[in-house]
Amino acid sequence: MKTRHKRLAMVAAGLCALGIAAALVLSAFQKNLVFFFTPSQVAANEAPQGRSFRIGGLVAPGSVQRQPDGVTVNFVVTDTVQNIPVAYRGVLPDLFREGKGVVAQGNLGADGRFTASEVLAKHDENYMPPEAAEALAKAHAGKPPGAATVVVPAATTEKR
Amino acid sequence: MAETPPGGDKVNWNSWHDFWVMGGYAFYVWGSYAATLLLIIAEIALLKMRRLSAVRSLRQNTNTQVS
Amino acid sequence: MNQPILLAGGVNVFKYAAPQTFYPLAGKLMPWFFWTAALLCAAGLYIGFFVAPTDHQQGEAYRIIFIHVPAAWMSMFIYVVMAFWAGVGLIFNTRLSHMMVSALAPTGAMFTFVALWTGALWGKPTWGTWWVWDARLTSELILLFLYFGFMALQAGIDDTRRADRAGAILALVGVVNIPIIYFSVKWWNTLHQGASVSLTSAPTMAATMLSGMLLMALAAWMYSIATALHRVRSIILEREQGAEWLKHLPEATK
Repeated sequence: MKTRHKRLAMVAAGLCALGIAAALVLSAFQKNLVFFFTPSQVAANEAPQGRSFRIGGLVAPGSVQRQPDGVTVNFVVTDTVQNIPVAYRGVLPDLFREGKGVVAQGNLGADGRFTASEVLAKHDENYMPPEAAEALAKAHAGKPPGAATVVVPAATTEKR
Repeated sequence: MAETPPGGDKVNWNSWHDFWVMGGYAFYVWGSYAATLLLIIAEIALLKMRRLSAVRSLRQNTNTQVS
Repeated sequence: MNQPILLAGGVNVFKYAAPQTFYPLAGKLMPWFFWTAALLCAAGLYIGFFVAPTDHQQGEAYRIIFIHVPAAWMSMFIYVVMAFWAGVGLIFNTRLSHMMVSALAPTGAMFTFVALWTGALWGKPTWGTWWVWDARLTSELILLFLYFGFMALQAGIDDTRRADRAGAILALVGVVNIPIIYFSVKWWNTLHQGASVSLTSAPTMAATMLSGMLLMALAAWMYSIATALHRVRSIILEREQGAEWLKHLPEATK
């Protein structure tokens, strides 16, 4: 019985130490674990300067403009507080929609415009038939279409 | 978002062709299901093989000790 | 080690910890779990493809969810169960617990791979990429390497007791990764969306979609139990070579 208790204590202590170590390491690398920066973070100069990074937020409704050359798309990424205009040449993913989540990789110019080399859609976790989505949108009339199901990326809502 | 969205009541597929095309996502959807099916078949085959070889060596052991 | 421990109520929990009592029990239970899994899977697929409607944003591509989410849940859950038995094995020195850990690993690795594979095939048409190094995807990939590492470690050490102990420690150390995977979409911003189903809030899925997914999750659960029981029986035969009780098994004399 004695050895059993001893081993139990050792396993428990080991797990505790491990958990603390993991928490410390994770909090130390907190900045590097961020997949994208929100427009607010970019405005606060929290994004890396002088190198490529990702911005994430919602495609501002009504902001998508396709240029006459047929490949360039301009749109605005917003977190409802700050906005960043983005220019992108290339194919957009199927789920790229106004009012929906987006993550773009690229460089921020001195003029505050973001030139994206890659655009990814970040969809939300709501699954429903189109009729239900319409009904929800109607119920939330007054808000822009899609706003009913929009989930603002977590980091935009909490202060860091 | 508190309420669970209701389900639809429309027929999903008008024909088997519709079903296989999967709204243009056939490669992705069937690619996922096919890979999963193959892995499950492979795992079951490996389980059976392991069992067979374990039983075979058990019989060998038992027989050599008896004789 | 083999002395029986009587808990309150007089239930001898350690009775089934002996390989010779567990072996026939596992053999009897295994087919039940397997056929329940098959039935649940058939029901889940029927609901998933013929009852659940098209999704409003993703169209038919979302139907990958019926394997992706159950596989991802199982990949994490199996690891937690492995770590639990590893802990029990280390503390009580029970042979069967260590055998259970080894029996679970390949199925866990299989589900992890399925989660990653279906995730890639789902990510391409919806996000626009097969793979990104965000916290969710990366931590799930680490889980796959933990499973592979466990199996390689066990295979690499000849002495069974040492292999068990080394494997158990790896399983326990790796368990820190599980909350990281699960909460990654909350703790950090990721490309992967948040959870549609959680204990703390109402699911954000249409009822029929949800029921198809839950049936598939149950099927995955039953399948995992069936494969673990099947594999642990083989492991018992391999490890107990020479034990007297094995010679009286019907499969030994046939």
